[in-house]
Amino acid sequence: MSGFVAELLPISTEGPLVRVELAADRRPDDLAFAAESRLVDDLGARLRADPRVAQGGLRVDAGCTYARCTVALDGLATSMPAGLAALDAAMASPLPPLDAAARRVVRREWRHAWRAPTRVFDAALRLAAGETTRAPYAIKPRFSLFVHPPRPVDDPLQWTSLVATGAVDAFGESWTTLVEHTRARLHVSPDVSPAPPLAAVPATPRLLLVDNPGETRATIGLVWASGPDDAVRDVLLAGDFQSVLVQRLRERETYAYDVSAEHGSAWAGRSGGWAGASFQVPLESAGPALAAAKEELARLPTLPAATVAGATRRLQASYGELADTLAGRLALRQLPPPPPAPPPTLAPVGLLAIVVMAPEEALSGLESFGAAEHTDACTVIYGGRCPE
Amino acid sequence: MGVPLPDASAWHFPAEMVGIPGSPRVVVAPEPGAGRLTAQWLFDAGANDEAAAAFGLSHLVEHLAFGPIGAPDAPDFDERLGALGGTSDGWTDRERMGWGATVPVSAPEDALALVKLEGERWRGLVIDDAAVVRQRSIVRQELAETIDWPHGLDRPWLDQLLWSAGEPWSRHPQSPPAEASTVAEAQARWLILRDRAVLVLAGEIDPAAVTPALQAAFAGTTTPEPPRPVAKLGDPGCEPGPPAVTWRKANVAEGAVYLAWPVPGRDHPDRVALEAIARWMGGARLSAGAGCGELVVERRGTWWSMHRHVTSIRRAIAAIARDGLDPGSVDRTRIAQLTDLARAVGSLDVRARAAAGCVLADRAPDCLADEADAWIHLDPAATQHAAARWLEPEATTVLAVVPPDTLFAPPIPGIARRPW
Repeated sequence: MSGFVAELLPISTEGPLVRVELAADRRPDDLAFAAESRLVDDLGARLRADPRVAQGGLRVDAGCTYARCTVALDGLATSMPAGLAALDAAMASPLPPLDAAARRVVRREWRHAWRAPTRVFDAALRLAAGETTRAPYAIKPRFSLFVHPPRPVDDPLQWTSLVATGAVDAFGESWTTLVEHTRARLHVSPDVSPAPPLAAVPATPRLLLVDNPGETRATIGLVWASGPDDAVRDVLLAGDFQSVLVQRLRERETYAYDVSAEHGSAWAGRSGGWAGASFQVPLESAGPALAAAKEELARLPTLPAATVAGATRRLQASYGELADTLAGRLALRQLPPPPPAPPPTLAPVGLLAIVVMAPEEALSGLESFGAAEHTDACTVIYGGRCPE
Repeated sequence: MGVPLPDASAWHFPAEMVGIPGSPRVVVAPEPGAGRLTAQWLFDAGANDEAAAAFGLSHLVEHLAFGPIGAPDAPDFDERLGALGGTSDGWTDRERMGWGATVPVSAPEDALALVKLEGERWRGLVIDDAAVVRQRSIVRQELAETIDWPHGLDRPWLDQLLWSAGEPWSRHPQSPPAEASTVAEAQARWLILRDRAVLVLAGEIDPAAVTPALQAAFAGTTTPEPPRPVAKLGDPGCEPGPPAVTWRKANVAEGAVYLAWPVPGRDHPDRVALEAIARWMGGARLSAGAGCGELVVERRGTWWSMHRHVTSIRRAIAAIARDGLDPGSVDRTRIAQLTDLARAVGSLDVRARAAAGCVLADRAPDCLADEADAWIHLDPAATQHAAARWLEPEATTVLAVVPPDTLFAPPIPGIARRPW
């Protein structure tokens, strides 16, 4: 049972609210239609239908990201004791088999995944970063996996934590009882996964050119090696209006509307060995925008100390904001602490890969940005042809 | 089931108006220990009062607001905010525009620095040719990006069906990027916006200590206007279109069906009951318009399942119009809504925006407590009355959107494929 956490994290600013969250790390080889994802979805659906949850107005957050699966109850503290009993019961009894409608949903998601550009790009980014060697929808969903699901407590999912934030006094004895009851049933693993090692930086970054006919804009992603010590640098680069890539690509060059921060998923914390940035530009601006972005990455060591100090404070403040919400307080458990002061130097950006998704005719001429590999949405998503 | 509800104090928060002659209305909402301060501007003007030739002008001014301060080559607002460790955002809809900035506060000087920066922006916002050209280009990128989202195109199609004069409360995402606007027009727009502004400072701030800085920043700069009347349902600009049942193909991975009703705006007495119905329906949204708005129920699925969704929604609406929601459902939606209100009150920037909205509506800055009170006193009869008056089951707009390889029209009664 070492590493299993069952505790209350008090928080003062959310008034009468409480959140209870059960979390599990995901196996990295199960990206799309894993049994655990269906199991967590079904567990959520079952909780939502439970009158103890519904009548109490409790919100059920249940689902899996690449990194983690969570099941959470969120709502008024006065509703939570009944909700906890419902959670305990749902964990202890077998889930019903997948019905025909649910199977159709799974099959439809699998069949149409290539039509969702955000899904294709996200998969391409992670493939390019070396996160996985398998296309996420390579395996056709096998419903035999879901016909005889186990009880959630018996599932190979490694439930890691059962924690709550909110009004501590709201639970009293019922919380302790629930914790002991549930704890006895769970397979457990360490609460926080170790940070993965930094990815090895190639001499020439991998360049994945994804042909996606019909796109009216090019979606571009840059991926660089990143660890817990690089958090300030990554905030400085992308993610908000003050970051340097937004200032350059949006405010000065007007190529893009926004530049989003990207993070690896192997580790449940801020970074999975890599971080990155993504943005959309008009097709004809893909080359110039990519060149401008690379210039900003190279310019990093010359940034004024005040800019680095500002980014450090933004990072510290973002942790403060997380600590002020119920879900955020729980998420903070997975993050390394923010740096107390600006780093004296910023590590240079070691570019791992670049992904550009656009119609084929817009991709020609970009090969000079890295070791180019041409591919398409079907290969990225399914590892081959799209389903008929 | 009797879940005990918190008392009304759970939705109150401290907030007070600061009287400064010739200043935009300023509200200070202190929260000792917050560790940060947010400055939220709200302007009682959006796309609704723009001339047709200059749609998007308010949105353009919103973008300009984060540009250079004092001189064209001076550092812009975001750059200076970044040096304070701050973050920012902005938005525009048909009725209103908002800007937000938040900084960490570890000493009183940090709060004063944000007030000073906001004051400099208020007095020295640069609106010139170069800035207008640059921000117009960025707006164009924004529009190109947002309308490419899956199902993003459903919205204007639905609006064309539901509103005869165009969508009445959130026009800007579909507006052209103010190609015809000039610097003079943008500057004139900024002058109008200044008279309709509210600033809320919420978080780690001492009202007594910050008042001199507020006076220095804002005194004698504007003449605040009183709240303006808004168009009600059926008035020009809020005219519902005729009922329609239609479908079309789109580049989406998954089909969707939308049922929509024009409804009165957020100040109408039936509004809380309509929100309760929307909550109970699930997958429904109620627009935030002041004078008029819409209730839209969305369901995803295959073309052959859409008729089931439409039929079940229509039956549910008919039952509510006949009997009202049952008391248990009203209890459930009440608790869920009060929970959401508690979440809003617990979030610094959301609370500040809500306070600004209260002031623009000429109410006390913590009027969220009034909304909580309305929910606490909601009864099933009110839902019956609201559904019977506004949600005629057969008089809805129905739009089905299906993937491009779909071969058949959804078997929804009354379906017709309109030319687009």
